[in-house]
Amino acid sequence: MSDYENAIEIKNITKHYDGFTLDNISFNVPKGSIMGFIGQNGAGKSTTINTILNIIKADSGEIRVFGKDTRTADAQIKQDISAVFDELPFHEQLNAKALDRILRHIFKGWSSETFFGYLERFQLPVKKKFGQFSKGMKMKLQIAAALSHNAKLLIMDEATTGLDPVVRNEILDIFLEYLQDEEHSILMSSHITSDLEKIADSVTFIDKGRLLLTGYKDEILETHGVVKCSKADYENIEKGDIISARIGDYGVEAMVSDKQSVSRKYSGLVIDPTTLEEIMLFYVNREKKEWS
Amino acid sequence: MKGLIFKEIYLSRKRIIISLSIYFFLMLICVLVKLSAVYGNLRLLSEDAVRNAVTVTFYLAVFCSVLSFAGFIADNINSDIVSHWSNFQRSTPMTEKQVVGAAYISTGIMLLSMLVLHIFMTLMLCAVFGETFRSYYIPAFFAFAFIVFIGYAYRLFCFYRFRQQKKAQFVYSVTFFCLYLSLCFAAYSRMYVYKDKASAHNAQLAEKMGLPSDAFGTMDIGPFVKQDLIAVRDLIKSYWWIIVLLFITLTVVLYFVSVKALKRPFDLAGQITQDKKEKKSIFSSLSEPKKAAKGDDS
Repeated sequence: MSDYENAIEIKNITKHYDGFTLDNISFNVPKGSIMGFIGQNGAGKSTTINTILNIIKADSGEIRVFGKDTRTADAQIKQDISAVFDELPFHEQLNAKALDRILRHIFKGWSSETFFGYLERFQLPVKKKFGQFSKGMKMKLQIAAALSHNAKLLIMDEATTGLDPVVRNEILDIFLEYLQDEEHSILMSSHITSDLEKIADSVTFIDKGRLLLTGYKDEILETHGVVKCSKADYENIEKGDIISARIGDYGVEAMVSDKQSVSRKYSGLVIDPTTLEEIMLFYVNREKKEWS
Repeated sequence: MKGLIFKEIYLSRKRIIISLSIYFFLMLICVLVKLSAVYGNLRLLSEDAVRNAVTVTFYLAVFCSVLSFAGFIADNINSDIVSHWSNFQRSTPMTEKQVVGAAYISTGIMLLSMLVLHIFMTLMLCAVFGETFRSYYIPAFFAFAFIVFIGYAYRLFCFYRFRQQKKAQFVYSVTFFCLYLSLCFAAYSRMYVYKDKASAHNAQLAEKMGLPSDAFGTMDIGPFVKQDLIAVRDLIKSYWWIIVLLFITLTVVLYFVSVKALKRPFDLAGQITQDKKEKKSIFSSLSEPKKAAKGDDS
């Protein structure tokens, strides 16, 4: 199972709903890395994740996990996948002890020792029913369960949304620990781009069902930049060179996708480094081109 | 599968405790009736009345108390959907066959435990009431368990098919209401036949005695009902294997259709879209643009 380069390979996935289409999405999650999956609400992140997990069926395209087709080797693949959802998928009447008894018979690699170790680390009660857990506790519980069966791939759908920064940091540290093993990979969808900026190796950005960007985070951040200039200077920039521009009262901020060529073309322009959040913002407004 | 069976039984704990409490409460009342008939106020009644009361109580204890066990049956399917377990389950290596199989096995275990307990309790009741443990009791209990099991399997299918409590409940209820209505209709139409037979019999008797033909009335249908019950009993005795075969066939069919229904991806099953459907005026589509991104980020 280790002779694969990418933990996930998605090729031309298309899924059509009434009023929404996930359009020809392709990207790879390299083995041993963490990929941030970003996009607005309704962009298609959950749809993509659900197709990877076979919860919903894609209309066309191919998904390979650990080099195997998910349509043919589903059960085999899922022994090595852990999914963390935005909501706790366990019954509120259960407690951690009961959950351990259930999951130890579902996952071959389940380790009760690891599970209770994480519970202790997260200071989660063993006998308290999940219904009485706070949102943070629920998320920690899910992560504890996800990390206790020696999964090679962790898929997270908005797992850190709604958590306070302390808990989020704690969780991010655990993900980094998890990635110490080269066989382990993470696909993490999130709105909180600052989290991804901290830990992600690569980033995939989708909007309205379309793939806008995919690649290594450092490369994306290196090539993109924000031009800060006056309105007069902005008039001189060709519209084809920018993704979109935020027009303010005192000047203009424009996102460029090729910092180097823009700086060569327009000497004297100040191009500041950018963040994933800004990239997301400017790309989302790319159709308007100019916004305030 | 063991994990899922444990989950089903664990989630049914409360219902098991409630059902057992009702069951033992009913048993206690029946025993109290018997004690009252021997030592209490009931013995002040006529001998016949006491005997009738005790007999009726005994049969109620043997056949009606068992109904409280219907609550035993796990109804965890909807809570699986509400708690998002269904989504999680799809991300685990459990196959649909294992999921449905686990639900069947856990229900089977619970029903079997109930049967063993009830047989034991019936033996005790027989000792308390001074009645004989009749040979048909066990098949009757099994028949009850079979009916409950089929009902459960059908309910499971409805949930997997519609993935929505209200819709599944509606289809399930309508099916059983139709079944109930057809049984009522059969019984009612049979009643007409009984009445005709009874009046013909009474008229014949009256004629023999030289009395007017309506002298004995027409309502004494008791012997005919008894005849029918005997006929049914004989039929079951001779063709019990058909009933067993029918049960097995139904179980197998329901198992496969449930697996098939569960295999459908959630979007095709309509769960996501239906759950998010809002109540709208029929004219709302004329004024509002269509909402995008159904099923996303849910």
